[in-house]
Amino acid sequence: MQKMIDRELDGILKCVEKPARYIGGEVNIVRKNPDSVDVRMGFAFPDTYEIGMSYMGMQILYHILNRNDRIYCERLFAPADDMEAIMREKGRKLFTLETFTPADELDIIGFTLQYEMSFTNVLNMLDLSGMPVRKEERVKAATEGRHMPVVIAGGPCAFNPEPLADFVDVFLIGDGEELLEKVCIAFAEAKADAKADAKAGAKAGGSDVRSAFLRRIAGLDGVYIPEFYEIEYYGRDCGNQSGTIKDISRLVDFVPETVTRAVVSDIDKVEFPTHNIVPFIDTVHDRSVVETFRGCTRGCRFCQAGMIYRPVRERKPETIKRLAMEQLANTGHEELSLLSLSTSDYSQFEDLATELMGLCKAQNVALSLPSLRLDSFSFRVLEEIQGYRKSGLTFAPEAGTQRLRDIINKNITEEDIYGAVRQAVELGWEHIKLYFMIGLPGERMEDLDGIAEIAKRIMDINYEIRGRKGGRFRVTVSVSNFVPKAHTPFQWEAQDRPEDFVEKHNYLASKLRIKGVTFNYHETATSNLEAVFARGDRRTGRILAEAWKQGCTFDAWTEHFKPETWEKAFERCAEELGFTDGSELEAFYNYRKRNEDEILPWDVVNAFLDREFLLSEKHRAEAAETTPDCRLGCNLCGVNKYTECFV
Amino acid sequence: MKYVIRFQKTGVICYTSHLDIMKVFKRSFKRAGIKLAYSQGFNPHPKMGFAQPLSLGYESLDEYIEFETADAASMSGAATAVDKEEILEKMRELMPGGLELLSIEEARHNKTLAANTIAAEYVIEIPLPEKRPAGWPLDAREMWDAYMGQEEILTLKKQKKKKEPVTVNIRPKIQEMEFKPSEEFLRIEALLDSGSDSNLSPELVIATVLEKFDLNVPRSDIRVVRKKIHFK
Repeated sequence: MQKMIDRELDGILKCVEKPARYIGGEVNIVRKNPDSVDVRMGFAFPDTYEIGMSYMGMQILYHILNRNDRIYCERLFAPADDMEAIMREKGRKLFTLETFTPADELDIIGFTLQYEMSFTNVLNMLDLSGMPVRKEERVKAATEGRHMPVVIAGGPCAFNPEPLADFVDVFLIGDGEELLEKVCIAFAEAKADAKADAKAGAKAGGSDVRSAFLRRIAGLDGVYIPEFYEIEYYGRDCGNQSGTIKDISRLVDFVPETVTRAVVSDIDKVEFPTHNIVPFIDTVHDRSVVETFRGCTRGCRFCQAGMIYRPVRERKPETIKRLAMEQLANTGHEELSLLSLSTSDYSQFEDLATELMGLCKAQNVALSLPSLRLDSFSFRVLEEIQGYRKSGLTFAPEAGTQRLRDIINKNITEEDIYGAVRQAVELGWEHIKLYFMIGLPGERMEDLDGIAEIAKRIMDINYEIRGRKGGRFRVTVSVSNFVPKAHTPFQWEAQDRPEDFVEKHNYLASKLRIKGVTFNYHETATSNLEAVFARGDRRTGRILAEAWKQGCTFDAWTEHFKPETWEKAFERCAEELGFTDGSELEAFYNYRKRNEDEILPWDVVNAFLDREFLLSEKHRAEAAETTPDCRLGCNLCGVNKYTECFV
Repeated sequence: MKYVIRFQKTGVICYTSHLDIMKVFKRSFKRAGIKLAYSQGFNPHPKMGFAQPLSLGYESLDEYIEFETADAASMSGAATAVDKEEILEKMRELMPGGLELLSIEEARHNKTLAANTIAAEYVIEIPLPEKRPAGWPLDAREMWDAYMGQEEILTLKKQKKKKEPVTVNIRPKIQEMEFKPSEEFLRIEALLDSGSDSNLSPELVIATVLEKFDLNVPRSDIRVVRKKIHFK
């Protein structure tokens, strides 16, 4: 079956770069007759096709929704700016790749929020769909008889939904596999009810479907509907409470006081795709992927994923092997990868890796095992799967001294690293990659010296083994800027100011002027902005909308990021939000250490983590005390009050 | 065993590049359990190739891909040589919409299809602008005389390596040409040199025709279909 496109779109495709981003039709896409389903959903990834198609979550949910005959899930991506310009010029709306349906004709548009810097793209995609970006205006348009899709959003950034609360109707918090389908079916039911009412003569209109829908899903775990909650703030003259949240209250009694995150308790039984869509064009990752487990037991204090995806839930090895082989058979992929927060932590990792290596070899498939802990088994595996084509070896010490690593609870010692490097150099590796963060709570200058020291020691180990010239050996040091995240023990911490980051970058650059060492660092302005939305409240949505109106999109892309436009947006919104100027506004969100008893914007979300646990982790960090991996004993984070933990 | 599959590429899939289509075939062979022979060396490639690459945005009614299967002994699950029609059937089921596999043959030549390609027929469809040029529609014969009667047809051609475009004479590379003007369209059927010895891109024909007849039509409105590839 072939889709027909109109002449105008055909002409547009001839004018843009990589037109295959916009044509769909890939192997394994789902084709349905849109008239035969009860609910049509557009799964929207707020970045380009190449980024979105590399994201496994979309494949998972696409697969699960489309198994249901009542639902048709199609895909939406952010068009690149050449495409956007032509679409705007010709008045062409954002369309789905499956049927070229304009997005505003769908029932639901669902965004996945993977990183804060994609938020302006959410607004832009709504606008490109011909819809008002603000929820209030969409509701108004619906009461005037216009069809308006309901906008929902999920993903890790939904754990602090507030910055997007004015633009999104419903947030889905937690695991989406079961919840999203329920929500789609609830929409279908609400539609059916409205139809029946209309037949019975009762008044019915577009907005009625919406309110019926909201009432149907309001009680489900993981559903947060911002319009049913009111946020009250302290005024300007309230001392150190000024501007902070005074109260979060429900406006209706059919929503919970705090929203409990949705959790899939048996990951082995939940559906996982075996017919992945295979893109035509090169994407960031184009390979078969099986998630081995969700969650992490290590408890790094800066890591949001390690907190919000608890508890650890594993797939059985047989399931993993079966899924991998089915995916490879249905896609023809030449690479298989495993997905989790820490590959080696899978309880039967050695057996699984050994078996997968055999299966892949027999099929001429490359096996890629990201984030391996480098022990002797890993080296054997890497020797086997990489052979003479060795990629770089990666270590993420995150901090330059043991003291700071203890503060962040990153359980890796310099002896671990040097031992592994020694082994790697002996086995012929020529590139070591190191990842660090700067601006961590409790950081001192000596921690930056420590970063340079580790790089230097690694170079020395190479000279020791390879001789005075050292061969082509090189070390890459990548430094990112710490961004405090919601639902972590560091959620109360202040972020470094841009000038602190710059000073530290410069200091490191001078310290790392070592032959064979490359130093990369992350752009400062992006990190500071990311932090605003990572912990922002509902009011930060104004800044977001203002920046988008002034032309900010694709903020995650260095070549598109407009720091001056953002600065102006802060300036313009400052007064309205009760601040003297833009920098005071930014300081309020980023450079202020929050009180432990402050009501935080994301307190409306119950991520299963006890406040006492997060606070005790914060205090242990302040005392540079580590907390052991929770496989060694329960650390009482609170998750097991809500769901079965692995122990 | 060497085979050639003849296929069509029509509809929106024409916006997928020929390298990406190659990847589709490679993965489909794998899915179909057809093992290809691989080249030797550090970076082994499956032995497969198109007769002639097709530009992005062109459709084609006559495409060829040749490939070499690994010998029967190493064929997955099959002890004997696979029937070629079975290959075709299996592959057909796996092709994305717009790629229609027409037939399969055993390769007859020693040289590659690419080396045997000498010419290609194209249909170029130019919609006329609202404001018709004076005297439109012109007589087909007159158009032919005016265009093909030129001793030289000079145009600028981008160089692969150098930055500066060079002036080339495309006239000797146009083997046949027919103009079919109508009220709404100018349809051109052209047989152009194609292949490694001498090659002419339809883009240069389009540019020179538009210039010659003073047609102000955006390139994005023009459709090109490759109708046939000629081999030695």
